[in-house]
Amino acid sequence: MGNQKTNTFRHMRTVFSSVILATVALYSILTPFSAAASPSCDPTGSLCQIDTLLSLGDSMQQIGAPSISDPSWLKPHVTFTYSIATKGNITADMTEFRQLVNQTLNDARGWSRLNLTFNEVASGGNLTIYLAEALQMTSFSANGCSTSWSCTVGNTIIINQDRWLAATDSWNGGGGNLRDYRNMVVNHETGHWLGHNHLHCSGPGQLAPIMQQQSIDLEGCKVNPWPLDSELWSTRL
Amino acid sequence: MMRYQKKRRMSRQKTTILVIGIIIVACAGIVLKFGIVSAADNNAKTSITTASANLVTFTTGINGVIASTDVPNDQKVIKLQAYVSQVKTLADTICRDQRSTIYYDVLPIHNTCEKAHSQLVDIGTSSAAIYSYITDEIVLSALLPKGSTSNGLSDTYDLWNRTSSLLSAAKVGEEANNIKSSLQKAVDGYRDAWKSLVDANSKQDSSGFNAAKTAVQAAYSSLQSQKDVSITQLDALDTLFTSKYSAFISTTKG
Ligand SMILES: [Zn+2]
Repeated sequence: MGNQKTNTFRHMRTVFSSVILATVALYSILTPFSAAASPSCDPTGSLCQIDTLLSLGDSMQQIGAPSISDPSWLKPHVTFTYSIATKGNITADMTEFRQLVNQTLNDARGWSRLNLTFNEVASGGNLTIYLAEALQMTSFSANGCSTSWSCTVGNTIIINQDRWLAATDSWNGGGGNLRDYRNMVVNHETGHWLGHNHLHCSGPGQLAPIMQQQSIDLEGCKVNPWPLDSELWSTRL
Repeated sequence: MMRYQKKRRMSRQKTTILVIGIIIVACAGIVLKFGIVSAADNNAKTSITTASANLVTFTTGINGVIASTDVPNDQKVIKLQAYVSQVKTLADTICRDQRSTIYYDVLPIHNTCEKAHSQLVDIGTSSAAIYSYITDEIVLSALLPKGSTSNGLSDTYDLWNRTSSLLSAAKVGEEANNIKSSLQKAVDGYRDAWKSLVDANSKQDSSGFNAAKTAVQAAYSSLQSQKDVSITQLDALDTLFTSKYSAFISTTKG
C-alpha cells in the first residue's frame, strides 16, 4: 500500500513538472512574437509615430514608375495586311476613305512608330476595315457596337458613316477638325485591334490619349488624333 | 579709585549688553535666513515637480494630435511647433524665482535645479531639431515632380534636370543636410540614367539603350528608397529626444 502511494505521488510529480516545463517553454517561444506584435512607444515619454509627419514617402508614390517603350528602330519590323469593305447605304467618297485609312495607318505620328507597315489587300488580310451605314452598326455586334459610334469586333474595324461625315459634338466643340477626327477614329479603333483598352484624360489641358473616348467626352483634355508615347505598345507584336 | 572702578564696571556692562545684542541679532538673522532658504528650497522642488508634470502633459497632448486621423498633417506640424515652444518656456521658467535670489547658491536643491534646467534646454533643442527636420523634409519633397512621367525620353530628362537644379538651390537647416544631399544624389542618378537613354536613342545604340533602361529602373528604386533614408534620419533625432527626455524625468523623480 505504502509503496503504491509513493509511486502515485512520483507519477503526479512527474506530470506536474512536465506541465510547468511545457508552460515555460511555450511562454518563452511566444513572448518575443507578442513583444514584436505590439511595438511599445510611451506617449508620456517619447514622440510616437513622428515618422507619419514626413512627406517624402507620399511624394515618392506620386512619381510614376518609368515605363520605357522600345523606340521603333529597336523593334523588329512587322507588316500587317488589311482589306476595305462597306455595309449598308454608303454616301461617303470611298476613294477618299481608302486613301485616308492607308495614310493614317502608315503615318510617322501613328502606330507605325511601333515599326509597323499596313498594306492594303483586295480581300481578307489580318484586318478588315468597314465603312458602315449607322443603322448597320449593330449587325456586327448587338452589344459591342451602337448606331452612334464606331467599334472594333475581333479582326474587324467598323467606322460609323455618320461619324466619318460629321465627327461628334465633343470633338467639334473641342476645336477639332474633320480631317483630324478621321485620323483619330482610325487610330483609336486600330488601337483596340492592337490590344488597347480605353484610357482617361490624365489632367486638364493635357493631350488626350488616343485610347480616350474623345468622340464622347474630352474630359478637359485637348483633342489628339495620334497615340501618345506611353501608348506605343501592342499585344500583337 | 572708587570712581575708576565704577567706570570700569559700567564699561563691562555696556560690552556685555552689546555682545548679547549682537548674539540676538545674529540668531534672529540665522533663523530668518534659514526660514527663507528653506522656503525657497521647497518652492524650487515644487517648480521642478510642476515642470515635470507639465512636460508629460504637453508630450501626451502632442502624441494625441500626431496619432489623430482627423487632423491634417500640416496642422500636426503647426502643433509640433507649439509643443517646441511650450518646452522652451518650461526650460525658461523652471526654478526661475529661486535662480534670481541671492540665496540660490546655498539652496540644497541648487544642483538639482541647475541640472533640471539644462536638461529641459536639451529637450527643447532636440524637439526643435525634429521640427526643423520635418519642415525641411516637407520643403524638399514638394520640389519633386508629381504625376506620371509618360513624356518622351528627352522631356523626362529635362524634368529631372530641372528637379535637380531646384534641389541644389533649396536651403535647409543642418538637421536636413544629410537627407538633402542623399536625395540630390538619387535625383541626379535618375536624371543621368535618363540622359544615357536619350543618348543611346539618338545614336540608335541597341545595347546602350537596353543597358540604360536597366539603369533607369535601378536609379528609380534608389530614388524610391529615399523615403526610408528620411525615416532613419528622423528616427535618430527622435532617439536623441527620447534619451534627453528620460534623463530629465529620472532627475526630477530622484
Ligand atoms: Zn474605343
